[in-house]
Amino acid sequence: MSQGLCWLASYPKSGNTWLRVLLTNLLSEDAEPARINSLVASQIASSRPWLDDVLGFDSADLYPQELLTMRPNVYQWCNTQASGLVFYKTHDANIEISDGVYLFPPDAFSNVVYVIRNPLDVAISFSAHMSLSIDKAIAAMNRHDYTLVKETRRSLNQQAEQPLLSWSQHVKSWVDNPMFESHVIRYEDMHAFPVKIFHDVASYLKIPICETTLARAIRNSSFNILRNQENAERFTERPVSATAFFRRGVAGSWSEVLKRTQIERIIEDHHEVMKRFSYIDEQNQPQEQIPGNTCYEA
Amino acid sequence: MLKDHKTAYYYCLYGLRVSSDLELPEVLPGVESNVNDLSIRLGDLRGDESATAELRGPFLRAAPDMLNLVVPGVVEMAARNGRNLLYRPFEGIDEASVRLFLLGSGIGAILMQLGHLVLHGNTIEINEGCIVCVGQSSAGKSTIAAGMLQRGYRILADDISPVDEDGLVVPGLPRIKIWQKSADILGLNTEGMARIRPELSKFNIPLGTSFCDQKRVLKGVVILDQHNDTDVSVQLVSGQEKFRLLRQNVYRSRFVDGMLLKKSYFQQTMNLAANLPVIRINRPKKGNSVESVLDKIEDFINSAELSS
Repeated sequence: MSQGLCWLASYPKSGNTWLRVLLTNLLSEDAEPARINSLVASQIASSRPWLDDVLGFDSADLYPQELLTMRPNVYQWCNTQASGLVFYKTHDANIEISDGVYLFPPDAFSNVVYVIRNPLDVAISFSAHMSLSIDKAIAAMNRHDYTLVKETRRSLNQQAEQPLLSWSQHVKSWVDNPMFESHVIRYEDMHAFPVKIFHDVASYLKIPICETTLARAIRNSSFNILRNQENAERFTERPVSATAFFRRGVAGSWSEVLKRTQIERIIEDHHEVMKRFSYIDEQNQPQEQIPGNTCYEA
Repeated sequence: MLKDHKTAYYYCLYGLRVSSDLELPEVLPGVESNVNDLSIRLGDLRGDESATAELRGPFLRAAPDMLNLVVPGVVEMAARNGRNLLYRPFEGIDEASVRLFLLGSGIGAILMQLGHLVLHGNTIEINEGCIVCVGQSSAGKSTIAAGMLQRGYRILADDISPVDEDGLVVPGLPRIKIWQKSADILGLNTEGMARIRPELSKFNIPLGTSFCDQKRVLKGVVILDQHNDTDVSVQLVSGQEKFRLLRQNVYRSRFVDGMLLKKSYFQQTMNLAANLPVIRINRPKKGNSVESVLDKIEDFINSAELSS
């Protein structure tokens, strides 16, 4: 197995949690499904308690820009101290903080798995999660300055600011970073080709597995199981404003939910990246059946 | 811009007679004396003996009785033997910012070197003793301290609460720090109050006569936390979970490890866990539940657990 930090990176509502469920089940020797409140990568890159502990002083006493410049040091340090492969999640875009210095520099991890999802579906899920209208979610996904947990300097949040940039910029910040390569997987391929996708993830992470373990992990990660678990016990990561975290878990619901104008707007905003990952065809038309192609070059 | 450092100021801080070459308006004035327990002074930390101390974080070096911490762009500090707190500000930094970290992690390290078990929370005086409200960043500790003040309680310590070997909490600074939003919720007027740092809307609120300057025996601990539920929940903590939560809420456990204080801290924490009632209060992450949390704390103060 690889040694060091493994970042599970994604734009919000792109399948990060489902990836964590699958990895938890993959690494488990238990025949029973992993519990949703005991997943790998429960620590998020922007967690203040974690940042405070490693820094040795209160991040609350720092200006947002000060904290941003110190976060790479925290990750670099933790990467050097990691015993085995340690998973962390992040929704941050991997922004360039200063000349050649990235929020997640190459010595801040041993591996990166980046999950990308059709922005047509992300918009729907993002709107539900953030209690925004779909139109406002689409607008937010196109903002170059969009930040989760934006600091107001009047109060404190449990997480530090997370710069997302626009959806397209977020993808490129990880997938096209000049200093390292990410292992990129599409949410839709996790649904359509789970055996191949997770076999490749396991290989990338140097996790030895057998076909039986892989099949069991995939079976134990079904959305039905997750939804049933959430009905029985509150998912601690679900925001109060959302009625459920594990909602539908399907790919392609955009065709039933989005209006034509909303689809056109998202394509107009993000066509370059959407075409690259086969979410639209050469004529910029959305693909209802996303062609199976698990290999994408930076 | 820092003032002339030839002047000495005298203070009383956590029961220590302090001489400082930096004015510390947040701290209780002390008596001028040639005999002091703690010296705070500008120092040249280059080539310092701690350069060989083990790296314990990206900005932290530590060894027994020795801790060096850098807050990039603000200040570098060195805590030595519980008696000396040296500092070197970064070029162009304001004094308020330097003081904030000196009176935070800097003094925290000194208190650990003096053998105290330092909890990360605020200490509130109650009849026959005190309680400490602990919690991680943004748990609401300072808001709760301000709320208890409004309900007539006195405060011993804000954020850094040292427990001595006799189980008494040592009083610290006669102020609490509070965010503007929390002040708004509580109806506190921050006009004229000093900001903890120039560009943060967090203020130093002087306690005046609401500061308890005497040690008080620690009678109980409240662990403040947040959850994604809509209600405030209270749970009496027992057994191993009590010990685990107390350990989790020790101030700067990384300092403890670095200065090789783990063994003594383990014993001190075990003693607290064995003898003190502990409750955990979970509040919703969204919405205003301050009064409800304060009610639960008062219930705990008046409960049989604390009277026994």
